[in-house]
Amino acid sequence: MSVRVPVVEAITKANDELARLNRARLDSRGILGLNIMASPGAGKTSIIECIVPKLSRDLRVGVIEGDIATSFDAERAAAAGATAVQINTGGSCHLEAQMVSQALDQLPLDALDLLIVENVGNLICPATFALGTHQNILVASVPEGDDKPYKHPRMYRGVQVLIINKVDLLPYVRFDIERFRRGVNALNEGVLTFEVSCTTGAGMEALVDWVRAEAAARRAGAVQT
Amino acid sequence: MSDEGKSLHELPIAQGILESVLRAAAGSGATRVSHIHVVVGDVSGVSVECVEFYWDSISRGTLAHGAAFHVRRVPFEMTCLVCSHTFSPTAAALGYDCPSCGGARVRMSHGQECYLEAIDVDANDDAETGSDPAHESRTPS
Repeated sequence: MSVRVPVVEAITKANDELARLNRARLDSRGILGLNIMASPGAGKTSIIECIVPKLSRDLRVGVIEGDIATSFDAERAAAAGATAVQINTGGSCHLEAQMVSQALDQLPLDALDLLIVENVGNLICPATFALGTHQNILVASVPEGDDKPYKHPRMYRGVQVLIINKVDLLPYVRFDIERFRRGVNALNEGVLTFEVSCTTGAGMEALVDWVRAEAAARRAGAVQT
Repeated sequence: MSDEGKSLHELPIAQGILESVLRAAAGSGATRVSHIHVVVGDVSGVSVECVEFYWDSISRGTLAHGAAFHVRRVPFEMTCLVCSHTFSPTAAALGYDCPSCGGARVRMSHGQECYLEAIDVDANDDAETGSDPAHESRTPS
């Protein structure tokens, strides 16, 4: 006898459960977790290099660097003043909660206020895999073109924060920021947006202030509970 | 990840589906899983064809080995908040503006789905069938 059994379960359920455990590890210590995603070359590591020296004046910062191979990015994050751990995914195109869990084992969590996870450069699958961080941040850079919200709707829809990087190049490249904003707005109305340049430093203070305020709120939440 | 670290992301997804399938099968007194029904949105970022590719090797020795995959594709769809018109943005050049009223206040209404919907099992006639009501289930947004 053949029987239909309804299930209705997210395909990413196993990862989602591990992400919840990661979140609990951060929450129990009042650590703010940020997941930075972008295409390769958008400036994820450069942004980390820009903000960590400013943040580490009053926050203890840990960085998890996801890369297919090499530890260049972890070295750059460590040089900026963070405690850095490298995850080499060995070909996988995104980070998963399980990899972040193993990286958390290597970090001094009791001595951290902020965890920045730099995902593998890719605009497709990182959006599918929750890591347990509190804020998903997408870095979009001006030279990538203004069509990205239309070509990668899943990624633009799934983030809480959007950083538009390399705004100093706006006069030199074809990037219709109104068309870009229109696409973003259709997918993710009201997403918190920062316009920055790692080269000129424009917009960095506002980004740093936001991270600081979010971290303070997380810490206050952990003290209350 | 270990040895499988060099895989595409569909391997862990396939393993996750297998776990869900076997859990549901165990709760229904199944002797074999014959069909697996999944729902996948066109912009979900998941390729179920790749999941099928891994299925034979990861399901070997389980009740779900040899099960047929049925994929219900959900097209990318936007809904206009002004005139309620629904449309599928197909060409990036057209953007997301409503083709009916021209408005820019639209919402993504479909295309991100990614879930296991049901399995068909061969069950013993005397076994209880149906899903376990205590089993956690949810529909992803």
